[in-house]
Amino acid sequence: MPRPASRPGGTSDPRRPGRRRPARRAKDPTVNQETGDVRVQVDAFQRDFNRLVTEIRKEIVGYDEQIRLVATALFARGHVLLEGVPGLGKTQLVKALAQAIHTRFSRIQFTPDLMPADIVGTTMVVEDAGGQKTFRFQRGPIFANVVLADEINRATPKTQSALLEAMQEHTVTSGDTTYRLEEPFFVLGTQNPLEMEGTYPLPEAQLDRFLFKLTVDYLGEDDLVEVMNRTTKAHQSGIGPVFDIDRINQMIELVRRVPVADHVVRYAVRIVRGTHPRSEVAPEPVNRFVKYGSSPRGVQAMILGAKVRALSEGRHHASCADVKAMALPALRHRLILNFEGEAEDVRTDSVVEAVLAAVPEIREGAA
Amino acid sequence: MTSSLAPVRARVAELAHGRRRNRRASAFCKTLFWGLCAAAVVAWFVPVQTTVLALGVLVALAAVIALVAATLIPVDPIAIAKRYDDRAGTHDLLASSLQLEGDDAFVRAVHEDACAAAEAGGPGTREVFPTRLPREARWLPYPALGCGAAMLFLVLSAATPPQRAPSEEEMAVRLSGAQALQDIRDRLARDEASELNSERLRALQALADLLKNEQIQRKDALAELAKLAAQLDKERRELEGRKLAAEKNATRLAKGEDLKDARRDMEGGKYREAAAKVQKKIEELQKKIEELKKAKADQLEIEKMEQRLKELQQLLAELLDLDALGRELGFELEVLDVLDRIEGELGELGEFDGEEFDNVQLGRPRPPGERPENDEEARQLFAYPSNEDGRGHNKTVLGQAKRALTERQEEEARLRESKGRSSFGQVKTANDRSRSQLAYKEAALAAKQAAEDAIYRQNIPPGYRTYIRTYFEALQPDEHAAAGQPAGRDK
Repeated sequence: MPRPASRPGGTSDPRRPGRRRPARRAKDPTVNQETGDVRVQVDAFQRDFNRLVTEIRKEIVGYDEQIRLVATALFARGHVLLEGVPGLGKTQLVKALAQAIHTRFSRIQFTPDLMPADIVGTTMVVEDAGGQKTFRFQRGPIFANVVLADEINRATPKTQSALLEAMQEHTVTSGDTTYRLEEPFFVLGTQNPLEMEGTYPLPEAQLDRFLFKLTVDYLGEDDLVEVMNRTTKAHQSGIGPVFDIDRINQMIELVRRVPVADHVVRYAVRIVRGTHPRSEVAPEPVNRFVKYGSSPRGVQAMILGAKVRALSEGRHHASCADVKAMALPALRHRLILNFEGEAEDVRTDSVVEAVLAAVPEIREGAA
Repeated sequence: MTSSLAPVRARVAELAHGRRRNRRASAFCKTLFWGLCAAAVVAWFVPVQTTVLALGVLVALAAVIALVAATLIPVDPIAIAKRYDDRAGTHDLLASSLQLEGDDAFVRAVHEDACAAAEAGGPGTREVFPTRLPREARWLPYPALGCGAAMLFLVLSAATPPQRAPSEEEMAVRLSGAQALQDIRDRLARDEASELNSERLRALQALADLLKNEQIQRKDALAELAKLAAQLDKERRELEGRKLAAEKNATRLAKGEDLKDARRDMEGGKYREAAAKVQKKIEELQKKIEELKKAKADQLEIEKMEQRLKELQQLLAELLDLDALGRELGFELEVLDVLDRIEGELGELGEFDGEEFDNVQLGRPRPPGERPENDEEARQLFAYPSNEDGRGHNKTVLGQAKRALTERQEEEARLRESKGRSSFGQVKTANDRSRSQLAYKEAALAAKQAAEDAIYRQNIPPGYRTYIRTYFEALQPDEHAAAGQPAGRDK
């Protein structure tokens, strides 16, 4: 039976030619009114998400995927590590994001002499008008909604570890006082893979705390021409705030409500198990080149990313395709290669791709 | 409250038919493939009819297994819904809706979307589960070809030359023989006193029927005849042995002047008459013993007479046995005579032109091109050395020369120091590579004469005689062959 040219109630998906989106019942007056609110919220999420991406694109040329993934990490309540050679616009991307969401933004340039107190803050003796001297905690730049940890691998491990608690718990402890960071708290670290002299590679524990690791590669010719036009002529990006903190928090809350079917969760779990050497689903490259596979945070990252992706496409549920799309950014920094892998200069991306190729989306009878 | 997913479930149930159809096809092809593999091996060792029957059973079995597999093995609705989602591009909507439960508004929205998608149409069963040739089907031709090759080989190897209708003359001989056998059989069947068992009567009837059947070839009829003749001949020898033993016993028991007449009858082969006389003597003796007992005569004399009575009774039993044996032997000989006559008449009917007896082709006339044109050519043709095996008959008669077998025999050798074993061999056949010093014609004639002698002495049972006679006639050299030529090798 030939497929109908247009299915009633369906709208074509511009991002996936040939694919169709499911029928939207919200426009049908017979639809249950209780779900109406959810449909409105999902539509709003999709609209705002796309607005944010569009707004960042005003400043950033190319890197559409990276922009969407950074936005995804923001709404998934995660942090992003951007890796790329200098001059590709990593810092600019983060600044554009901060401008677009109208939140408090801090930029910390990591250097070898940067101290933890320079990030977290310090307790100072303050004299009031009456001459009374008191201790007061002077908040550091980490007390912001969007923190850019520029060239994060240049700071000493001691300083890098100052970020651990903040990234995981969203709290900062100074002395015996714990301060809660304002939501959203979003850390974007950047590092370049070239200059390894005088750098301190991030420890695995800290790498694991980044939801995604994004690689920023060279632009194509057209994009590069556009960058030249924008940066060598009088150009006003005109980025304006798309929404405020409250809206971001609402969107983060909405993400958590998106349901994920069992077969999708199992697919994500199988992918992560596929990165474990000598597991029954591990493909040959994993057994050969990987020393340690992904932690359970890898599953969390994929599922949260899948939820955001589903909402950004106007769907009420996450699918296996969403999980698959999140696998590379969520897992590439969680694999530790063995000596053979390092010696043969194996990229973790190729290992993850091998896992994706080997793991079926569904196993009959064991969804 | 969970929303109703009836449309989704209905859609999945509809799609499950496609899944089961594919599973049926797969199970069918898989079973057929492995069955054919087994059949391709077995087909070389069983008759073609059995293979064909087995293939039919195999197809039926594969169909049953496919049906059972598709019915009993449950299909996973989630997997089916996922397959549909992949085809329809609905991002796992149906699959998720079947798993998501609860009162959450999101879940209800998913259910509503799934129901809408299921009701809106989309890809049909054939699109979601397209009818594809199962993977095993691609390999089916190989074992099928193997089966076919085996059957073809068996058919070709078992192919028989076209049946030749028996001539009128042959049928007349066969019908006459059949009638003779039938007469014997009827007569013996009517004879209540006959101790011939029903097995023999059945064998006679079967041979008579076979001779009457026009579909049966002469050589097959002769073969059956030979089989029966061999059996009867064997029985005849046994009966003769028994008869000899009975005669010895009877002669031993038939002593005394009073049995003089009975002995004469025995010597003349009249056992029944002899038995009657002995019976009379027994009755007289019994009467005499009774009288002596009444008269209270001497006990010793009575015992003597009783002993004599016992001997006479034994003699009577032997004579009756001899009479029965004689009748059985008479039957055997009568049947053997008839068989001999039939075989002789059938053998005299003419040549077995082109008829093959197992691997030996007899009596085929030499094609005109191969006949020697003159004496010189004939001399050369039969002159040794020749590189060919027997030009006077078909090559298949002898085939390739084989190394002669030697008989070995071991003997005790008495040595001075100790005992040991020594052995010596004796070559019983002609050497396969050496020159024969005997002319071929002489050798062939001598062999034929020996065969005729054996037939005359009745060492060869009827039925086989025709074969043997025809074979040796075929070995005879052409009359053009000059006498005195060496026989060549292996003649």
